[in-house]
Amino acid sequence: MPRFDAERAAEGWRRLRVVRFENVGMRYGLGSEVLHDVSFHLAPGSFHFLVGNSGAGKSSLLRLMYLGHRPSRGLISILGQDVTALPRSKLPPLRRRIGVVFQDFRLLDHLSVLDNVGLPLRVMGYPRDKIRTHAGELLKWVGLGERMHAPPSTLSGGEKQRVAIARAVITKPSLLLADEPTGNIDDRMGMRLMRLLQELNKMAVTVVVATHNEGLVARFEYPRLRVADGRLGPDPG
Amino acid sequence: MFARDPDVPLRRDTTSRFLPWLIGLMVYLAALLVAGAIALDGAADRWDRAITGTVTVQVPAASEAAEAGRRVEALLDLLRQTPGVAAATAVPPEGLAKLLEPWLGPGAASAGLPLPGLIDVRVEERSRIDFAALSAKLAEAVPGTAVDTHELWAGRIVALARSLQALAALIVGLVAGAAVAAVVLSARAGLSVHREAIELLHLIGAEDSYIAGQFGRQALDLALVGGFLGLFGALATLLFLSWMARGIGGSLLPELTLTAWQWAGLLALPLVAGAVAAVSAWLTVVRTLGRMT
Repeated sequence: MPRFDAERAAEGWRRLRVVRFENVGMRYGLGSEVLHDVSFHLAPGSFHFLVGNSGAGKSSLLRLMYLGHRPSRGLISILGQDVTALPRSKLPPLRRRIGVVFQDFRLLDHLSVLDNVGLPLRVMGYPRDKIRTHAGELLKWVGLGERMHAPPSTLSGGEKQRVAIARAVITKPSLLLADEPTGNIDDRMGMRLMRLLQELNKMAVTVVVATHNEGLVARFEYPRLRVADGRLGPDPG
Repeated sequence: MFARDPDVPLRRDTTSRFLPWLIGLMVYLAALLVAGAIALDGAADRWDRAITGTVTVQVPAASEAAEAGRRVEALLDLLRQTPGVAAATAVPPEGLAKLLEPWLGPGAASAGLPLPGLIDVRVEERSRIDFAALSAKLAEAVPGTAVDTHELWAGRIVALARSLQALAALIVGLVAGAAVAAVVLSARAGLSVHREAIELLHLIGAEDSYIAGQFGRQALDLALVGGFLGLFGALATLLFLSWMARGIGGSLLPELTLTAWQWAGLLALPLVAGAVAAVSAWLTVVRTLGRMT
């Protein structure tokens, strides 16, 4: 009869954490800390809201999660990899498994909507016809099949947001991070975007949505991570 | 060349617009210098052969033609018996007249002027003739005979030609260095201007080499455009100079006759400029991004 190996079980449990923060602190340059002693973990396939007032530290926390910044202290594990001291050369493969919807969309205006959505696949070296097929399908999924050749500058805020979501999910990421995805659009469009994110979550994608829109959060049953003054409060979920 | 815009909007970059003109000017200068060096190389070789290959013996003029003929014949006999002399030929009176024509005008030879006789001596390759001894021997036979080995003037001209070639190589090196510096500065400016796009590419998983490749290809495109413009300008200038030189008709001017390989080298200049620009831009971006945390 096989014996129970507690250490292996614990390791397996740790690996199940898509995101793990232990006593993390963060500062920009030589400035003072903007995040203090942040500890939490996210299970695979979960959906969390990251809430808090503007300037509370939500975007900084997301930035650590999408590997846009290194912590000044503590331990961060993303998708089973300790990223605290991960060499720079090892970051790209991990980043490809994380989808990010930026608050300001970060679309490249000199490229078409289709090329913007296909950008992550292009970076990964996919052939052009495959990129066009995937990006076209995703644009139809977000309701922008008719605008795929348009430049992003001609799109409305809601349309840009949907393009950003399509770009974030084209690599089928394990973790999707959205920074104020409803910040620049009306409530109706905001609900539509949330449904899109829910659909992705049903496909086992771990989703974190940072927002200060408490009204929107109240309409869903998902757990919340509350950030205030650079500290993470208790998880009400 | 790109079928579509690169991810980093480098084509709209104002910081690199000067690059094709700069590379064009550099390729233009380099092509002229290389062509000049090739022409000088041919001329220097010809002059070099003249130093070691030929000697002129000057026979003093005689009051009577028969005496002049006897002197020349005596010296020819002596020269032909000298080991290392391949051939000795007296310059005929009409040849002498042709040599003097630029200074004394046509008909100088028939004007009754006492003209010295000249003997062209061709020396065997690798022979070591003691010209001082030969000169003494000839002067003993016909007093006043002088041997001109051309060594002094030809040696100076060859030395000048070699110095000019070295100078041309140095200038081509400096031009290449300036081109590399311009590409490096342009790449650094591009990195600064497109910081946001580069950060986005990093965040969606681009490696440094992918981003550097975009800068490298852009530098290649710009350098090729400028390089071929510069080469065409240089070829037009060389054709014009050849046409001008034909008008002068001077035998001292170096001729620009290129072998197939030399033509290929000249035509490859824009490609070399493109490759140097692409590699410089690529390395600059990889090193700069590599210093980030």
